[in-house]
Amino acid sequence: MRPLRATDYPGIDLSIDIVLWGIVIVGIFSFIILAYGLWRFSAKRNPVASRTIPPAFRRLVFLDIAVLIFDIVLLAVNIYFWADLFIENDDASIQERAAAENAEVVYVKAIGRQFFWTFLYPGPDGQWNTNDDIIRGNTLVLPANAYVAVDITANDVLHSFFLPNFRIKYDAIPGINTRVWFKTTREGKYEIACAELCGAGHYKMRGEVEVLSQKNYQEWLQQVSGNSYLRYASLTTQGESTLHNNEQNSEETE
Amino acid sequence: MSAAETSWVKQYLFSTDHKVIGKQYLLTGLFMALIGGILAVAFRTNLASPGVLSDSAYLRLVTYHGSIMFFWVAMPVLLGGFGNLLIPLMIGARDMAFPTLNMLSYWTFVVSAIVLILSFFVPGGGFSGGWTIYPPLSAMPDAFLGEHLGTILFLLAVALEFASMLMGGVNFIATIITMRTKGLSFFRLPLMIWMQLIASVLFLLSVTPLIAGAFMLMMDIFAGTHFFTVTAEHTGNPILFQHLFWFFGHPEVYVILFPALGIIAEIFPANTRRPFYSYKTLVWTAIIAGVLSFLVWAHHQFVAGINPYSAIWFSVFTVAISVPFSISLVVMGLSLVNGSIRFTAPMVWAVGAYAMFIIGGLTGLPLGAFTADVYFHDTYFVVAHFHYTVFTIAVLSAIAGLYYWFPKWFGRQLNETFGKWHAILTLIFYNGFAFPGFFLGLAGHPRRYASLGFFEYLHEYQWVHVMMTVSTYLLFATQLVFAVYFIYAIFKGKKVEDPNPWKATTLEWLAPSPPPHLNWGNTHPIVEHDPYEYAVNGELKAKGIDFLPQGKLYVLKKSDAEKQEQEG
Repeated sequence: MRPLRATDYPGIDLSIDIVLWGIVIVGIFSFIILAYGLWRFSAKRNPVASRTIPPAFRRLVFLDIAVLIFDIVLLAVNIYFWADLFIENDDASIQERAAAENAEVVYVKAIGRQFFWTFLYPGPDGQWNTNDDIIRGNTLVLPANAYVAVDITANDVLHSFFLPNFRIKYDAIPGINTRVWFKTTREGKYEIACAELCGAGHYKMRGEVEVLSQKNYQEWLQQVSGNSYLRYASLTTQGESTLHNNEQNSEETE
Repeated sequence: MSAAETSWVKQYLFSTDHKVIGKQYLLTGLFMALIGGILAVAFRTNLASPGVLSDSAYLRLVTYHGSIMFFWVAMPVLLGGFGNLLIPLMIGARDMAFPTLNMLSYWTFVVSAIVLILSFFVPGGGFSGGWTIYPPLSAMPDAFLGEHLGTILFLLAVALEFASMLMGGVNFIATIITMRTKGLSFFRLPLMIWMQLIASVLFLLSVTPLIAGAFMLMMDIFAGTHFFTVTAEHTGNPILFQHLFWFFGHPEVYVILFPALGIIAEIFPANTRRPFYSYKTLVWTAIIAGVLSFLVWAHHQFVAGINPYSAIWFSVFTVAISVPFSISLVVMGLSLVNGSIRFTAPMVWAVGAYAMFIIGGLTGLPLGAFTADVYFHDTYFVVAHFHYTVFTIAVLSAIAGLYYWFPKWFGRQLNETFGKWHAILTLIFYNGFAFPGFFLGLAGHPRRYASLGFFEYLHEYQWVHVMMTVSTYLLFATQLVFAVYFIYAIFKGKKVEDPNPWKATTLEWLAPSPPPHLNWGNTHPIVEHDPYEYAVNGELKAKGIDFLPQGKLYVLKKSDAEKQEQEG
């Protein structure tokens, strides 16, 4: 049911699996008991009601204890991975993780705007605000087997940076920077959806993640790094025309 | 104006009688539900065959559907309608504590509904930023082209509706605390009354931050403040509004949930013919859940920029809330055990609602557990989850209550067979539109998408939308038939002979059907027993009677009767 997983980081999928299996089991059990109870104690089978309850049924109170235990397990797993994802998400922790797996760390800034994403890279030198910074519209190019730290913000209204294949989602908020990280594993093209209502073109706000092999990524990096000012200028006009097109589209449908 | 006209207006329009006001709320709620349903049918059509509606029209309909069903259907029906119709009757009072305030509450509600409907038709169109009204989108004039008048009227309508419900809530609390008849101690109150009391208190305590938030939002629009908007010079905080909204928003869900549980808790004992399994447990779990509901609001914002440490606590409290609720659901289930279950129409509805609450409650866990919620947040999983709770509250439980108390309120009958088929069809079509949402959510389908066509990973699920839309049509058609029959039965239904057709114990069944103005005539009810004395032993059992009414009617002395008359 879930889209193809493009990362080998298991945290979120594991949390989902535990909670879903838990509620499915408790749910099915409850429904069976309920159906049995309705059948067993219908007026036809049980014409005279009684004020007492057979002890066997009293034991159903253990269902509550089962829920409590399940809650504790669930929270423990969730807190463990939450700390991993959103508390230990500073540069040092991510680098540590990457070093342990001999993987690269890529830093990116993502800026949401009606209705497209802009991605900024520090460029081959790894320093922000230098001449080789890279600015790209709507496609996030990444190397395989890398830890990607994305700082998210927005320019106009709320957006949400949602990567279904990486199971990651975080809101883009004007005036606030938020950080998510994920790990790329497979090469391929994946989609970025917007998951927070951002206006009429919300459902069209599609971006792409392109995961390249290490070699191709380095080539791409050399190709695109250059004069950031010019690139930014060309990007904004391109961005504006995207916005314009979206407005036109919605007028047409009207 | 002739005398006869005055009396008609006083009797049916500007009445201070709690029963007339309750019925007014009920019928206005029914009318608004019709509008909300039509909106749902319209935007679901767009999901099945994209392009029927424009992008902004789609969002506008979604926004109004959500707001209407929440604020103009669930609240007026469950609090305004059921609360007004039942509280004085169930506690043995002659009317509410503040009858005029009660009338004012209803007419403020009517004005709010009119303003809401007007806001839809103003130039530029109605508000389309979602029922959660998140700024900056809702605060920026250029985010949606030219619909600011709609936004302002929408906010005004919401504010008026809250004012109306506040008047009602204050009235409910005062009535329940001060006007209980002799012998009716707090722990003899019928569960429905407890639930109305807890709901009113929750509403009273939670609503103020949102009113402040709405005011600040209006200032952002009108007065050039930047509470929630961000520009190069001014940095407001968009998240602040989310805090104000959800501090209200989460208790608000319980404000409508508790009366719904109350309805089920009344119908179960009367149709299982045994006492409620553990009356006090239900009351205390509701109180605990009510308190916890003030500590969980930011679970709507796990991935919205809140402090990751505070998110831990919000997740812990959210998951902890499953404990009191699982206890109350188990207690309700145990109330069926050793009963002699009569599957009357209200019972079929109540069992259906109970079963759906199990699904609604359990599917809250993947959203409350914050790491899983990173994936599920703002997907169709959320949509499916809250339809399993809110639809169950506002439709299944409310209709269960309608079938149960209809003979009391209107003195006429609803057809039993009709009621059962209505329940079964509703349950089938309801699951047909709501359940596939869990799978769409699992597939990562974000909510509030006018179409899934722009995303390749979702393409294969278009048929699911078609199926959900067809179910919505059928569900709406079923309710339309019921609405017509309901109105017909109010005027032309078969009259009931017996004031207590379900052989139920609570006080309202002692009153004539329908109860006259001031409810009790020249008698007065006095409570002598607990509320659910079914399956009694001893003398009554020998006579073939299995229940003991909670109280008895005593005939008033003539002087007392006149005094009561004057007070009314």
